[in-house]
Amino acid sequence: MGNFEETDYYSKKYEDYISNNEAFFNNKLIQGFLKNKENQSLLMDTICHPSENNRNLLDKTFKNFYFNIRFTSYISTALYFNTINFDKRHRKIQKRHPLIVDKPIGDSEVETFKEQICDEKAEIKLDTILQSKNIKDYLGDPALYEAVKTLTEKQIEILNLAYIHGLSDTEIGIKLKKSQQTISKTHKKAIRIISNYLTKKE
Amino acid sequence: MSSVDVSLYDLVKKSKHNKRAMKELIDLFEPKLKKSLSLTQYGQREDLEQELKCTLIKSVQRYNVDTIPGFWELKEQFENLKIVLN
Repeated sequence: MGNFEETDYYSKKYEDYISNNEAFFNNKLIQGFLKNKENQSLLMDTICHPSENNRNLLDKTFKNFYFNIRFTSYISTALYFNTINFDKRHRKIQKRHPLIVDKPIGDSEVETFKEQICDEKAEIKLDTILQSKNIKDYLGDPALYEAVKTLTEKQIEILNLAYIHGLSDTEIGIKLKKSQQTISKTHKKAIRIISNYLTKKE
Repeated sequence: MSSVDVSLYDLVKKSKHNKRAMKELIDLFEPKLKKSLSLTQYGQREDLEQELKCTLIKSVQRYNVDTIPGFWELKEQFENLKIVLN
């Protein structure tokens, strides 16, 4: 019973203390500090037993808390402005001294020299790829390419018509003189084989 | 988190004359550093990273750890402010 009265007395003392220093405890920083239950009980202890030890401990804990906020924000700001300035400086230099290939041609703002460069000896030409009728020429992923290579001729032909020419299964059926059901079945099977191949590889 | 919190104060204090502590501090700010890099072009990122680390070290060395007010000091400041306002 006595214990209960004691806690009651202490919590009243604590509340009195807070209302006596309202402006201080309404401060966002102090409120943030007291949000932590450990810090709050530390303050309570210190108010009820204001020994040198308790006061110092509270002081130290608070310093750590405040320092953390202040230092982190200081460093973050410093890093941010440094980044911005670095970027600005660099852009300025780049604009004043562009590389030869980056120089605009004539008066135009958009076109630069590098757009005119073309590799005459290149074996892979964009134009031929775009005209290609074979799905294998369009694949950029090596694993997918390997997977497609395992398919039969018929399956590849259906994939060609479906994905390169954009035909529906019914249209493919008419073209190959087969029923839509057969085409759909082969199509699905081809996709499943590719999918299985890829998952097995992983 | 709280173990990191407590040590930041000590870590900064220590890092002014201890290279290992400074390294730890740089590692601590690594995520912030990495995020800052995205503000510039690809080719410049390595240069910027170096620059930022340099800034970090300079800022830490310039930072006066002891200016941080304690709990009672701050409370006193508040009371003085109240007197002035009244």
